[in-house]
Amino acid sequence: MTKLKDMLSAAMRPVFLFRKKMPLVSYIAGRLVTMLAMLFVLGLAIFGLMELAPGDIVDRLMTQQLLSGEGRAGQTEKVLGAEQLAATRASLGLDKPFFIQYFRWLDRVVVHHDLGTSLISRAPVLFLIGSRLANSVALNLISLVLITVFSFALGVWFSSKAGKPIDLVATFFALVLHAFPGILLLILLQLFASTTGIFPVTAYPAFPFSEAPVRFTFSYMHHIFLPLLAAFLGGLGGTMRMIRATMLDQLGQPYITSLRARGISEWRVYFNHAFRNTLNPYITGSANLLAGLFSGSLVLEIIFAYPGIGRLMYEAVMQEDINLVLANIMFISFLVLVGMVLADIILALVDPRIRYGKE
Amino acid sequence: MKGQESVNGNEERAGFSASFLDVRNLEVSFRVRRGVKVSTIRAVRGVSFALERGRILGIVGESGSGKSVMTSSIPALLPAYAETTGSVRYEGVELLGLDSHSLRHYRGKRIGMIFQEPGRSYDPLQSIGSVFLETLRNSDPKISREAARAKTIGLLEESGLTNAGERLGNFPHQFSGGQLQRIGIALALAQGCDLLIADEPTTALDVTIQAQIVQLLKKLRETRNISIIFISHNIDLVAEISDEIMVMYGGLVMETGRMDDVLPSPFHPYSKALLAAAPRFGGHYSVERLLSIPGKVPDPEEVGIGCPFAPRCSLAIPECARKVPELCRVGEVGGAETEGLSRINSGHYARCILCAGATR
Amino acid sequence: MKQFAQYLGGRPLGIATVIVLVVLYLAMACAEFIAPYSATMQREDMTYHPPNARFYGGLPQAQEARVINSVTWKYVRVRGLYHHIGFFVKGEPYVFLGIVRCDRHLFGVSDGKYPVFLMGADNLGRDVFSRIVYGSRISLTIGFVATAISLFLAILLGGLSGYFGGATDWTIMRVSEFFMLIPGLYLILFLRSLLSSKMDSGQSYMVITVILSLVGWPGSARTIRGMVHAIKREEFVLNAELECLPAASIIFRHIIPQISSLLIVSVALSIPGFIMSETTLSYLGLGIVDPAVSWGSLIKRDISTIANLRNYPWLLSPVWLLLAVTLAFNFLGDVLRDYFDPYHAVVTRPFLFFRGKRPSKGVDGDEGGRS
Repeated sequence: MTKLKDMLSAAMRPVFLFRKKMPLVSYIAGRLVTMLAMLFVLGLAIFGLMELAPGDIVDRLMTQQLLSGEGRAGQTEKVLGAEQLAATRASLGLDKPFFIQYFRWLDRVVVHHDLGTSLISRAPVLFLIGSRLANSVALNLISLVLITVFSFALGVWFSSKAGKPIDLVATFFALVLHAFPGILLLILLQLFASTTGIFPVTAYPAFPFSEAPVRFTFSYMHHIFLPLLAAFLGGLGGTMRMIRATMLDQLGQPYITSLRARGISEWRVYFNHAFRNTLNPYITGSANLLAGLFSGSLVLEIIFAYPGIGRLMYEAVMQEDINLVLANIMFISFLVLVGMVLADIILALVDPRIRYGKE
Repeated sequence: MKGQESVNGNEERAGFSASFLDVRNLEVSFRVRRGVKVSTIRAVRGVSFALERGRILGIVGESGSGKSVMTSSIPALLPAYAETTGSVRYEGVELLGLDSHSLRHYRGKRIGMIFQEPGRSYDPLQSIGSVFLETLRNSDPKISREAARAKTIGLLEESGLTNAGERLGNFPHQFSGGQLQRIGIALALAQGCDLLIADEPTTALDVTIQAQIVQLLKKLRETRNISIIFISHNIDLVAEISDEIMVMYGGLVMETGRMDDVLPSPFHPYSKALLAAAPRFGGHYSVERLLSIPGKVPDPEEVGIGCPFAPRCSLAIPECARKVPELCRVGEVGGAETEGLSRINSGHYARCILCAGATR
Repeated sequence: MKQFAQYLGGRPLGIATVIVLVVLYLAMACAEFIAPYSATMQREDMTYHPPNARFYGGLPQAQEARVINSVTWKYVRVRGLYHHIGFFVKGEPYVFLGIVRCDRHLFGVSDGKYPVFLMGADNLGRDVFSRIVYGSRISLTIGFVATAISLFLAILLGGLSGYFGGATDWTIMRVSEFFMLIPGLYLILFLRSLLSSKMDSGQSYMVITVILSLVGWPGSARTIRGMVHAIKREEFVLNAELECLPAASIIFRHIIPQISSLLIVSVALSIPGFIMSETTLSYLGLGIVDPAVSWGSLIKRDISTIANLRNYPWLLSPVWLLLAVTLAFNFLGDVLRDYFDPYHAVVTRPFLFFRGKRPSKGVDGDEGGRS
């Protein structure tokens, strides 16, 4: 038994050395490994859920084909005979145990980069997702940046005016913005767009980027203005309040009194010290913010007809296009995970307590 | 009525208006809103004392006695909803009511402070070297990095921190409590202050470190001739370090005087109880119970009329609950006094009805 | 409770929200009484009829209108043709609160010849107001049910996780992380897609509630776990353990009540979230199915296309009600949070100002007190 332990510790030795020598790099590496592990298990879970769902993929294929009324060479089943069902199942590998199915899917995805084809449009899933993903990411990143910048500026500003009338008014408005349901705001904004005609009702220019890049960029900005405004306002309320609260919290800490006791100027106390310490909680919460933005942008894309991954997901669900749904979920989770890992890494860079750990 | 204090020897003190630090009738109250009602917390109800250069004043009291609030009000480090009245004169200059710009000339540069929880008194994102650089630059904006570094190492070594040079890049969470307190002392002295206010500096540390810190403070007093105000609820520590002692309770001074006068023969029942309650080494060998003072400290929100200690005092008489006694000189009427010498600089005073009737 | 009522007294916003919520929920309970017509009553000749309640001759009256364009369903009011609106009018019979048989409605057209559309009619000539009143049944209750289930799961799993630690904690946390990894709406859609799309109205309610709860529990569970973990170290827990109380009793009867204030605030703040989730689902057509009505299904995509909304703006009425409910619950949650945690409320200077005191100079910070 002790021999086993010795062997294990010998094997782990290089890992510990690596950890000691380059704490930051090993932290990042650790995060990445965890991320991959989580993706793996996530895929397992989703795959499992789809297994548990009533009916399996072959039944759906049947339904699809009955609904669409067309056949496909090689898998056409006009007659729902039991043997033919079984044969199809076998050909798709659905009679094998669950794990084997999952691994085969994984192998197909990772090694061959083939996510399958959409059951409806027959287009390769990867192609469908690829273009939309960039759109969604772009939109949400712009939202995130705007929200961050403005909520920091406003949050810090209002924390310095805490208790004064203007602060009370601002806090109230922030609460209203935070509570205002995004979907309703979008509906109202779209109504506004259609009645006044100042802004377009859709969120994407009608012509592709390649035609006229510069005009496209301007047109793009014109188109996404309203939905971006909705996302921005929705996220601003909550975040601004949080930053304001964190600033006030920091300003009540003993180290601030200690700084003032040394005669450090109020300006420095505020910006070099209190403000820097609000970054930590914000970064920790920013991954959640990003997930929330993605969730909100789903409705946004539907209402404003923006060609993003959210609308793709909606269409896939409406059409019961399993392959697409599965791939969509995996991708969006992947995005959120990447966001989380990035947030962790930035946090480690900013906060020495995490970088150097406890001694 | 507010706790009125007639300081005997006002006349004597007036002759020493060049006292280094002169506090008169200091009162601090907070206006706080809990739920719907607004209430006033009277934390300090009239404190006066004087401190000379190079002397150490020890302030003893339980939590809620107002000791920390009082000392925090000297460099005006109280929150905005605190109301301070009275007079605090530092080298003759009135500090209360100064605007923040002028206050900055005093904070750190003339009056330094060290705090109770060294672990939380530093910006967690700032390395120690950077803290010192910032502080040194505060007094001397032109100081170079190398000069600052050299000075920092000097200060840290003076405070007893070994390998100071190697640890300048470390962050606060990488030091122990005792080390952080030494760093705090070095930091307070960095700008060359003459008065050091130590607000319960050892409460959060263990006993051996406590002794070391106290020794360090004594040494610094010798080498730098600074004055120290040392606050603690531990009367033994205060006894070890102070020249003069002040016992506070319920926002008021209960007893004050030179250490040699007060400690061997405390007059006020509270001081006597504090001394009796302090555990003595070897006490665990005896079968005697540890004495404790029955009752609780008064709530600064509900300030009563009479002597704040009356509810817990074994010598209380009905008169005690009616009116707050005045501070009067011990030894003139009643009391167990062995010394007959009158003091010029400061006398032994107590706020108790038992020595009332003494001259104002 | 009394203290809270006193506290509310000092906050006008709190009073307003409580009143709004009470009114809405009472109306929901008395839906059959308040709504002049049933949710399914339809009149083909009244498609997209505009609201027609007016004051005429000092009395509330319903004005008739005629269709002038049966393609765009544009109406024109008929001058002078009014029907008196009375109160406690006889209308369609119903069973009040499931017990009493009644046929009086709060208001309606006295002679019963022409309908009164307080908020207009939809594409099938159904009274929007009535549908809103009946829809409140689902919209307002689904929040509570989903919150209840979600809270139950969160307390159960969070409590177990925080108390036992170790492997239990690790597993439950991993599971909750997966739920949190997929953004809310995506997860809802995904779970919804797992089930067949053909559901009847009764099933749809249950299904949606379950889905919403599954999405909602991880967040609260993590918070509860953190708190249980911290409370576990207190002495009274050790006491209970020494008394050989079963773990379940310790967790649920002793520890959880400590965080009841947190839970109350969390409940108040999650209800609007669930209401809006259901609304979103119904808006997308994946939620409540006809004949059941919810406010979300009233603003369904097919009905509330832009063209429709421009021509028939009264179709948006549920939006304002949804807004009111959501804001009300959020404000209430905010007030509750301030009530339970006064140490976070910054002492307000204007408050002091009104009391006639000048704020003194000094430095900002949070509340002080003992030294």
